[in-house]
Amino acid sequence: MDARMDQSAAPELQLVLFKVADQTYGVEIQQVQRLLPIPPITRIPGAPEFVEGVIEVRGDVVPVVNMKARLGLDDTSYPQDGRVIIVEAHGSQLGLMVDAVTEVFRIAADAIETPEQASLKVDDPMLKGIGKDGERLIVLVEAEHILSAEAHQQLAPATSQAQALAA
Amino acid sequence: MSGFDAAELLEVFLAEADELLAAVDQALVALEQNPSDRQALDAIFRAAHTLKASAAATGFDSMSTLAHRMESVLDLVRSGQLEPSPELTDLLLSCVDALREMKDQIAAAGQPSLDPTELIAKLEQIAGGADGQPDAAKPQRAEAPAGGDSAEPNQAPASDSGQDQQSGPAPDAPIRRLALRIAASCQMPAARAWLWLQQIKKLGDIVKTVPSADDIRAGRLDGSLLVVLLKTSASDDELRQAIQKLPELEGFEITEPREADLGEIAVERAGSETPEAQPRVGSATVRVKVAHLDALMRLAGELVLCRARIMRHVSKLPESAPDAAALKSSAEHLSTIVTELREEVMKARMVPLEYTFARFPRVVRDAARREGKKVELVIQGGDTEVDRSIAERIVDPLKHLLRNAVSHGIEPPEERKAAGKPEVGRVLLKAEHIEGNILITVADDGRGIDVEKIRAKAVERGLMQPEQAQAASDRELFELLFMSGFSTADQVTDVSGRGVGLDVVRSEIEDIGGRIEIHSEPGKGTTFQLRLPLTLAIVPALIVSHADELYALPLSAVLRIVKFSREQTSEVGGRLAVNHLGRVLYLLDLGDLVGQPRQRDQLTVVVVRTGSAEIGLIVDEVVGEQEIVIRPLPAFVSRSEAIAGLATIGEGEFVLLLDAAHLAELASATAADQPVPIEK
Repeated sequence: MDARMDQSAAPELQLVLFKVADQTYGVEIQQVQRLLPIPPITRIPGAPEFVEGVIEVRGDVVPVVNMKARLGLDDTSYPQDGRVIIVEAHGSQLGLMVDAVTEVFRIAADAIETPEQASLKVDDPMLKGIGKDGERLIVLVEAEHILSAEAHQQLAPATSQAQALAA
Repeated sequence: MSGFDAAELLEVFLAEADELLAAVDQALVALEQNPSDRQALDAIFRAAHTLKASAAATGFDSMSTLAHRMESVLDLVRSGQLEPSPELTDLLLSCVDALREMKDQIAAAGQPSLDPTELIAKLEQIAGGADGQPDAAKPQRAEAPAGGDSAEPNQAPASDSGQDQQSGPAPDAPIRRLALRIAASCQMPAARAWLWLQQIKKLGDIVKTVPSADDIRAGRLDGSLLVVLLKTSASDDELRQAIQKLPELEGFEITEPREADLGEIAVERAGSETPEAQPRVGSATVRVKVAHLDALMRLAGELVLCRARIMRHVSKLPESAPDAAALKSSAEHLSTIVTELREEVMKARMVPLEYTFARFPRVVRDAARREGKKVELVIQGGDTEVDRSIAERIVDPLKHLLRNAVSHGIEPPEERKAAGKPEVGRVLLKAEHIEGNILITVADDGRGIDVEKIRAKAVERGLMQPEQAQAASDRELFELLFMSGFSTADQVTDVSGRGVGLDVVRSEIEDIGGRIEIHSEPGKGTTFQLRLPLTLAIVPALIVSHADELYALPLSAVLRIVKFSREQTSEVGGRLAVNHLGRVLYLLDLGDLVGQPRQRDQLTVVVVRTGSAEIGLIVDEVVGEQEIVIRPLPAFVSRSEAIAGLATIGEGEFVLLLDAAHLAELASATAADQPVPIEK
């Protein structure tokens, strides 16, 4: 799971830090393509609860994940000046809806502990590690595991209205 | 001299083999119907001969040998030493199947894995039995050594330069001018010319060709003449012997090089570019990868949408705005160009249906043989062009309809005779352009559909009340044939049955935005008519709204739009329904479907039909009709089967495409489970 970190020759990681409900998260800068103000989003019926909908980015159809819903929080609303971070995952684009994007942050690779090392019980492949910056905790997020088959199955199986009707 | 690389040569070979095999299929069936059909015989012979040569040139010896043995047997038939028989045709068809399989294996794995030894032995047996010396009957091909026939079995197909030859011509060897004419029937003259050059190379050094090798390689061969200046030690006789073996050669001439030719050589050697010596006439063709065409089509679609946005903005510009007039006229110009561009791109994706149709004589023949019927397939309008995606997707539905015509439509010979009809039944397959659509007709002159049988079955199945069945029109009754599991055939035959019915045909046709209709006259025959769009990528759609979200339905699935009030509806079998045109129409609220239910008093209902099912979809509002460019949903985003994809209309604004087939399934799931009495 940490192959990327282990083989990384550079001792430092560059993270784009963002806030979701007052917690700081980071995603590796290589995975980030662009930042957008929250655009109008087209809702998709039958989507998992954490998929807010789709947007168009330079002619591509890009799904947007509501990070609050993805993390299982109760309040899934965003401030007016919220952001969508477009990351690349599985060869296509994915939008992460967050409260704010704060900074680009350098951190030594060995300053990041895996959830096991931090003796945290986390059963979500998206949460890749935890880094410390003084008192601040930074949760490292793996873009590839935000919207994947496992995530789709594990989390919030959307009840398809259509299927319910057919039954 | 640059050349095709091996992969390109292989591609040409495979495409050519495809066309040749289709041609042989067709001709064999024609030959079986009329054993004295000289033209069909010649066509098969030529195809086998060409295939033999091109398989040998690409190094596929087992294919070449099989084709060669077929050719030998066919030659005996041509010379009257062997009588054509159904058994012989069956054997030749098996050979064609084997060749096709080997071709597919080459396409998939680079090498054929099927071993044709047994078929070759059978062919040799036939040839030997008729003549003893199969090859003696054709002295003009006596070059083939017994046992293995490809003249140059391991010749590298695309050796790039004549200079690489181990035994080049002597330095003082003369230059000869070869003028070769390609047969008019040749499907791919440039590829053929290229293959010829590979053979001619072995005779000496190619000094120059007209058209140039680069042009031929790029598919540019205007006219049918290939001129080769060859530095060779071979005598004219030797040249002549080698050249007359070339497939699809109409004629040739060996002469001294002309002064003009030599002049050009001098210039070319000096390294300067000269304009083409021969005037270019006729239309040139280039082979293009389908992926490029698909990308072009998608981009053209985007452009159409983009134009709509620009035009909308421009129309909102006040007259007084700076440069309003200039902008307006530029936008209009742009609009015209986009329209033309899209039309051209669509044209580039068009293929004539004859390639699709070529396999059907075989289908009909096989079905007829199995059923002990005599059937002739007449094909018309093979030159009608359709988008290649459509050409691919109508194969199975048409196959089914043709088998259906043979097994259910056409009567056995005795029955036809008794009815005063010709023994041989006739099935017509016809394509034509009508009002921007493609109309494909499959008509037989058989017994027609027994309407009474459908009536009885409809009542028996509880689909209609007896009085209702009596009152039902033929058209309404024919509709029932498209319901799944509803078949009037007393027994399901292997030929048309296969467990699937017309319902599958209809849903496949409707999947590509088409419609299908039946007409039938007792004793006279049955006609199926398929109305298909010209292209798939851009679809006319009905846009509806619900809770400020936009949804699209393919217009081909929309029957009509009706308004009801809440009081007109009732619960039927636990489902909301209305009485519409004397039938129960189940209603489905788009709001429930997309998880945003709402209360309404006035119902705007879009009647959607796919397959045999109809369902009324309640929406907030009908927005209008618009052409949309369909795009797939990203992965892991939706598990709702009701959403088939999405399309952009406006800036960053999406409309969700509803899957009409899925809606109909929801409707028929209820209808089939609970047959409901109909109140009139």
